[in-house]
Amino acid sequence: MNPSPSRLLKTSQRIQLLICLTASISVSSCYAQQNSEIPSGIAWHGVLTDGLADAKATNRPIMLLSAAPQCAGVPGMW
Amino acid sequence: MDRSFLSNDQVIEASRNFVCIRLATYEDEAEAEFLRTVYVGRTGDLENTVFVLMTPDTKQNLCRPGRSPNFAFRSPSSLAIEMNKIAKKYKASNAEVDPILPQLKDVRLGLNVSSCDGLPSVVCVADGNNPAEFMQNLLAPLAYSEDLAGKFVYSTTTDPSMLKTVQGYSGKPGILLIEPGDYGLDGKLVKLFSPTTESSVIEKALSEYANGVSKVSKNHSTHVRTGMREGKVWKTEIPIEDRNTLQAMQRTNRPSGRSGPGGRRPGGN
Repeated sequence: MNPSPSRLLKTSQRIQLLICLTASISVSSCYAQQNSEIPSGIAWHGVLTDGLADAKATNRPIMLLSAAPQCAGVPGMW
Repeated sequence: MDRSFLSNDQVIEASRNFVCIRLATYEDEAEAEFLRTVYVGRTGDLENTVFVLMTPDTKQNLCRPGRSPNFAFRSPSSLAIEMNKIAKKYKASNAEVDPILPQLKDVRLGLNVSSCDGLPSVVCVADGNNPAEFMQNLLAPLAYSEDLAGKFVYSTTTDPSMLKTVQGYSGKPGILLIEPGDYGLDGKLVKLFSPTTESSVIEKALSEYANGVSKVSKNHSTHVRTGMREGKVWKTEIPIEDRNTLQAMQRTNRPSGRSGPGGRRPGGN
């Protein structure tokens, strides 16, 4: 039995939807790969005497921060 | 620590005209003494976090000191604007100055901070034939370069046994690229550069690595809960003073410093 024209149309629409979804997933994965890099950040001196010597030598103002590299005694988290 | 301020692009850009110092609270008595002169809480104790902008000689604060940038600034952009304004007042020295490698005071702290930041670690392992200064001078210009600034956490040791928890490392001197473990107590060796490797080779390798991995982000409460369950303990060099932290630790019966439980410095207020 031959499929009716309306059934053929629906099948064709489903295939188009599938192609669009596949294309969309491919674009998303490419985007994720492009984002897979470490962003620029602040270059922190971690030793006070080094930082103060740098400020004295270069006459640049200081941004000073202190934070505990543990949370409730658990390391790996500020 | 307020990441919304310190990871802001405008603040990062403005930071290039500042000397940026981030100390590890409760990890050095002399640094703690200095921090107490900058800011203490109402109880007189050194709190977990401190933030301030200062003159190069540290004699004058250039903003209201507090626990974080939002004590003095309502938004990251207002901090960046103020930093740019301040920087214009300071004429940079014309003298040729060798850059100082921005590093942590030891590898124990270096690996932990690296894990806290979610960034890879670069460690100089020096010995009698390969002085630390040589490797640090090699890395310092790279650490401030446009391509690599703020992407790695640096430290130095002359004792390879300090890195015995780093998988794949055999104890040779050189410059190590390490992926820190979740808790900064261990790690995995990614690459070992011999101490005499040319700067351009290291720069290319670090750049390629930074462009191929993501900054690791963690869920705060999940990390702490899992760490407690798995017995991941960090002993601070000096006792913790921050009362909120102490209360949280007492609730979980965790030690608060290398001086033992209790958390108050001997003779402290």
